[in-house]
Amino acid sequence: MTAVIAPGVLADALRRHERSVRVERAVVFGGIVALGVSVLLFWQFALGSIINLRYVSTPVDVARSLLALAETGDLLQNAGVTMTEATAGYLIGVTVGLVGAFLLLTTRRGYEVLEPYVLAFYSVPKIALAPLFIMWFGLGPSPKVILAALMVFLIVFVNTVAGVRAVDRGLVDVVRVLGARRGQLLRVVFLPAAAPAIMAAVRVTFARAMVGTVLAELIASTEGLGYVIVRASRQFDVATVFAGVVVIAALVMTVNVAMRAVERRVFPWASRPVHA
Amino acid sequence: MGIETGARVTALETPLALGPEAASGSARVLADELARRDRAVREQRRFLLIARVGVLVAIIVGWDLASGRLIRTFFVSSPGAVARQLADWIASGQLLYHGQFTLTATVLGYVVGSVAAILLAWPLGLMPRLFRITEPYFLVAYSIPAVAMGPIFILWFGLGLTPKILLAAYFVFFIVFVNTVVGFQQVPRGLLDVTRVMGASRSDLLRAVILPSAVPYVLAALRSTLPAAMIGAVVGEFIASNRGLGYLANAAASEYATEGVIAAVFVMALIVLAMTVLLRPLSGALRWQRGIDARGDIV
Amino acid sequence: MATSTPAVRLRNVYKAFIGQGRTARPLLALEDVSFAARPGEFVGLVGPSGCGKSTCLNLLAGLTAPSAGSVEHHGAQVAGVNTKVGYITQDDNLLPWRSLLANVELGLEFRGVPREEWRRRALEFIELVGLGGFEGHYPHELSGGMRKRASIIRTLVYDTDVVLMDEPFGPLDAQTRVILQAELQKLWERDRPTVLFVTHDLVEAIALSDRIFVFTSRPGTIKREYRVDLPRPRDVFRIHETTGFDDLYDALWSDIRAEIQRARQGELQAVEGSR
Repeated sequence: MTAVIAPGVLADALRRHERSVRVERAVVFGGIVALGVSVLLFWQFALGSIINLRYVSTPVDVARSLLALAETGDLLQNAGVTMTEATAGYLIGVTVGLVGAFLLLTTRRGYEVLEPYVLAFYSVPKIALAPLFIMWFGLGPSPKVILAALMVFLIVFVNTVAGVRAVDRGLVDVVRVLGARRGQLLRVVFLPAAAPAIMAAVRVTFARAMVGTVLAELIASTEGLGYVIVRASRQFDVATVFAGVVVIAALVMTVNVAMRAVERRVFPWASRPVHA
Repeated sequence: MGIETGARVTALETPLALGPEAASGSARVLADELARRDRAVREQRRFLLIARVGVLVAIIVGWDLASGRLIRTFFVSSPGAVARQLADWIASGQLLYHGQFTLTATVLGYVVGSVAAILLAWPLGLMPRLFRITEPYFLVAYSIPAVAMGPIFILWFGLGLTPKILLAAYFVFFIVFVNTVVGFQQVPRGLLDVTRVMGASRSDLLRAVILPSAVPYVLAALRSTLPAAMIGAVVGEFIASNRGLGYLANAAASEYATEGVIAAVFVMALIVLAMTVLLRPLSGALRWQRGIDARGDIV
Repeated sequence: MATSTPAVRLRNVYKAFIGQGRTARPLLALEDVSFAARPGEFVGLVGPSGCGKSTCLNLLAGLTAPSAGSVEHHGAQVAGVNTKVGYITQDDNLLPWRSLLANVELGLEFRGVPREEWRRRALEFIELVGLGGFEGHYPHELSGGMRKRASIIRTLVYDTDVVLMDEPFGPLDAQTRVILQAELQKLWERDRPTVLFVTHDLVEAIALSDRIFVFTSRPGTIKREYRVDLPRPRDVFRIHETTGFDDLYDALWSDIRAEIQRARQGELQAVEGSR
């Protein structure tokens, strides 16, 4: 008798579960769409009665500006400049951060000696160095690349060092008893164990590279998305300012999604928070 | 245990009855070990101190020697010039005048940003469905590099203090928001179950379980975001301003006065360092917490 | 079974779980489970891991609803969280931000017991388990055994007639465990609530219970019922020397061993089948 009832119970439970999942999904999805649409509608039709549209523009105008930027080729050209600068800075920052961390870790007490300086450098708001680089290198791409690299470097460096130093002591002892030398230890234990922390740092820092690049462009430049925004804001063209911001956000999101996919492929077992 | 089962177990009165000289022997071993450890710790400390001071001296001396000989003064100025510039600013009251502005924007932005974040995160953290609905929009907003909001705020509010406060608040907002939501959502399931069976009402749960367990997350965020607020304020000053430390750095840069830029950056770094030290007690504030949480901490 | 209404009762209870995610497969945890506990009875629930013992307690606490069948507390259906029972989990689940005293007072506070009474009753129970002097300590400042004592008296202090205990002594070391068993027995003798006690430890089950239900492996159902007729009060430190202990232990263990073997064969078949 029980064998007859049991399948019924299971099927019932499954049916109920599936229905609730479907309902939940529909509610959430519907909610997301409704929220987005109502915000856009409000902005388009009602916001003007509260605030002067000169200050907030409208979604349609922003879209129009975006199109205009795209049509003239302005968008592609300036986005290309910003992405190139940010990527170059990012790659430099990641490389220097990784190499620096490992060089320091191969020395016995190097990190401990330098720790207070690393800390002090960590406290320097890297963004504050922007005027210095602009003063040194002018309006070209170098100050943007350097600032982007600097924004990335320390995060990668600190997380690599922290990841390696956080490796379980017991694991290290066991492998040492097995007869591993320093180099082997680094390769067999420290690197794989620290890999997720390092990867996470490498992933989240692209956004920082963008911040560095855009800021340098905002302060002084003749091209790039930051320049597009500043130029438009000087002309009080709010729609174009928003369009520029939208493009930057879209780029950052795209890169984030792509890197997350890569990370999941390479390190399926771990993703974790970063010190940033 | 199984005492009835035949063989009697005789317990030794003193397991190692070896007399008083043995006891003094173990005392000696202990003392030796302690002395050895103390010596090692002392040596380690001395080494670190010497090496660290050595690095500092090397940097300053190297900087001073290289300046004007290996590298043009335009690039690196010199330690003396920077020190003179700082002394100048202090004497003329410039440092106070500009520092005040930046600090005001920082503190107000910090307060505005964290209060807004907590007020918004509170309901969203308690209503998972509402959170899932709004989440994509927060992700989009989060992807906007905060600096890009600078021109917008300046466009809206001009050159004064307001856009700097808002920018500082914007830099703070997301960090506090995310941490607060996580704090609300990460209440251990077991605690909720047990307290519900004990008869806790919804408001009891909120007061006795959910809020207290979210507090450490919020505190951790509040601790790490004050420097972020200052960065926001400074960015605002870079973009358009006639006052503040960011303005000071920018103005020096436009006159190619390297020592001025370096001095301004140095002051900002000192302020951030001071903030970090000042807010450190926030992480130890809760006696019930074991250890210190490391998130947002400088490693 | 008995003429009076049982304190708690499960009647033909089924419970299916469905995991999260797209490939959610339903899992039958309980299949046609029926048992009852008389008022004042100490009932042990034993069985292989994953057999649904804890699920029974969650059903009685009203934290989850049965897929079929009825769950009753004093003849009334349990619907929604059942605040009339006490629930002690394997983790102590003390609130880390409250002192020992404030933790013990928690239930009294929620139940609207007059404030003057909180302190008196809480302190009485704290003294009873020898935690006097630690009232102001936070959970992380107490040892595992002390936290366990605290979580037990926190439930007993507000005096429910049914107490559900889910492997409460699981994470403790062997000595602390026996000491706490003795203390639990003493506390139980005081007011004689009905206790449902889930455990993996057969010695513990025999030492404390009046009756023991053995569960089959998943899907769990009652395989057999044992009466423990050892005289009370029992000396839990020497329970294994009591006459009748060995036979009972052997019978329980052979039941469970058979279930474990059955479960393993089932797993092997499942793995074979999935190839």
